Amino acid sequence: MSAELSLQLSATLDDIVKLHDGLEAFAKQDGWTSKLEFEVKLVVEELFTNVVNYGECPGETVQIDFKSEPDRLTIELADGGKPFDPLVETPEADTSSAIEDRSIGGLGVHLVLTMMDEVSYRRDGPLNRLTLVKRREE
Amino acid sequence: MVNVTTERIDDILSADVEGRIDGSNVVQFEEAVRTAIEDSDRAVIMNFEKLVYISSAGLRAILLTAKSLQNRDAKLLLCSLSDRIREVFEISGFDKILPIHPSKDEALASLDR
Repeated sequence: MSAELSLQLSATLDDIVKLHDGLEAFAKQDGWTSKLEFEVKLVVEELFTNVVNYGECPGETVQIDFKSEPDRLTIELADGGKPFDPLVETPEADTSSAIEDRSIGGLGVHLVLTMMDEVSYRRDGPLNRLTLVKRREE
Repeated sequence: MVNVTTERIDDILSADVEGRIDGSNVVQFEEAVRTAIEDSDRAVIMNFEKLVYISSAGLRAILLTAKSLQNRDAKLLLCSLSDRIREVFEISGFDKILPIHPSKDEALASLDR
């Protein structure tokens, strides 16, 4: 048994609400743990926000597909923004400096890499494509 | 949706944060906190008992608040984090720079009054 969800968002921060609402309904229908729901909302918001902030494609469509299988959840994000590999072009997260020296850059990608089991990027014609895999614990 | 309810206990501001802090509403959260803090406050306690979600957009706002308080020798304390929220703070290393207390009472008790 597998279930799928396909979301088309506009590259604007306001659409984070649509992302969370869509995921909430899908998580309920597909019986996710609250931990899985939280982590997936978080990682997808972080990557979507990167597209909005750095993709230089305001208002354009960002396609996000979710495929839930018994042992894994696969997430694919596709956007038509400028070529941007967040796994390479993001500063390393600072998780140890004191408050006065602490910088915030790179934290979103750090959260994604920590919470997901696989993350990969490829440029596909005019699209950036990110694929994430989260193994199911149940 | 995010709601911030504040009360002042002597020169300590307590802010109960309810709902979610994400990239679409972080500006509201920042604004609510910034306008509530007075220069005479020597500490701010953010109570996250009813906070159900936070992304790095919210962490950024919290770090900026902590930095601006530290600039004038005031401090930011957090309390009542759910397991999920705590996980985000730990992965980000925020638990190393901000005191996290199990309850608002314990956060208050940690401040010399």
